Amino acid sequence: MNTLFVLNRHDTDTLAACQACLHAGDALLLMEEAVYLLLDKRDVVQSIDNFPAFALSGDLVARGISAKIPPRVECVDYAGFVALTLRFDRIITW
Amino acid sequence: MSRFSILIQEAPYTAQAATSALHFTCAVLAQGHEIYRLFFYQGGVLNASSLIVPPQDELHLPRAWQQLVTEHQLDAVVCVSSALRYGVLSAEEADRYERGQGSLLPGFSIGGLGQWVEAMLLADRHLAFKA
Amino acid sequence: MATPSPRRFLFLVSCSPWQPRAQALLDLLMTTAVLDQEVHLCFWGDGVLHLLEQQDGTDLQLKTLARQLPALELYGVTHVYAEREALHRHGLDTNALLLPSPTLLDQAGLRQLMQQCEIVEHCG
Repeated sequence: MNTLFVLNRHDTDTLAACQACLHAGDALLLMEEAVYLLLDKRDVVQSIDNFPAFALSGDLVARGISAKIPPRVECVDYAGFVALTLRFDRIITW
Repeated sequence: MSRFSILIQEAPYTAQAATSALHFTCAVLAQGHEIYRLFFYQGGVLNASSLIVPPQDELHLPRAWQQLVTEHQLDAVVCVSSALRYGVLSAEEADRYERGQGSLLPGFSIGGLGQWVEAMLLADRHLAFKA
Repeated sequence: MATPSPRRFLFLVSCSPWQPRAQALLDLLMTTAVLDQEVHLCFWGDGVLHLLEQQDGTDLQLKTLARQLPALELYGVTHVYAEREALHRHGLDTNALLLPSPTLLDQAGLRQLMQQCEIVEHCG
């Protein structure tokens, strides 16, 4: 079962706990305050690299960080968010 | 076309969650999908309050939800235990508890948690917006 | 109301018992159990703090959620798990927990449990 994990807190402990639950085929969507994690250079955040990661564009723009996030993170708007939810079997709000 | 159920667990303005939920719900409908049920839980019930008076330069969240619910005839359920706790009362409950006029916006109904469980089971996708 | 066929739910509790969202999750869990779904409850990270004995919020006039946990069995909730490492980290004795004999899990065990349960509700 492929899962889209949705994170919305700027909290590396929450991120680490979520990452430990990831399974092949899963992905992360960062929104609201969680997009600030993408500025973080610490190892726990860099390990996002092992799974597809998405960020909600409105939240990046609101926080002025659209140009500062890793290029491999795909930005989606709300239409893209809806489409993403249908690419995975389920969504877990972490 | 897919069927979505959405849980809103946060009050308007205390966290971004309620606003995010509104944007997501609008996007679901704009893409031609169906909303099976909106369920307002815990502080989320305040999104259905008629007593909220936000600053004029801010999005009026309860009004925005009400507009969406009535325009699309959505099933928008406010959890009864949370509603009582947070003072979002239908006219009947306001009368029963002697609280004067009701404070539940038209278009929303009062229901139990079982309706959220059902909403999860019968939708193609469900997600929760919480802090 | 329609009565769909039973599905497997996992309630994953990572927050302490005195966060209001913990009660919200427990209420949802009990409702799910009453509707004859298969319910699994896992205490993870700070969530193991729910399993401390002798919790008592009376002096603070706070409702003690812990008092509801032993009744879960009456709701048919028998699949209960706890993170082994978190119990150790918080100094909890596995022989002196509020709920006796939860299945102890490591991270691989939790990942497997999450794959087995179709619907996962997380409270962190």
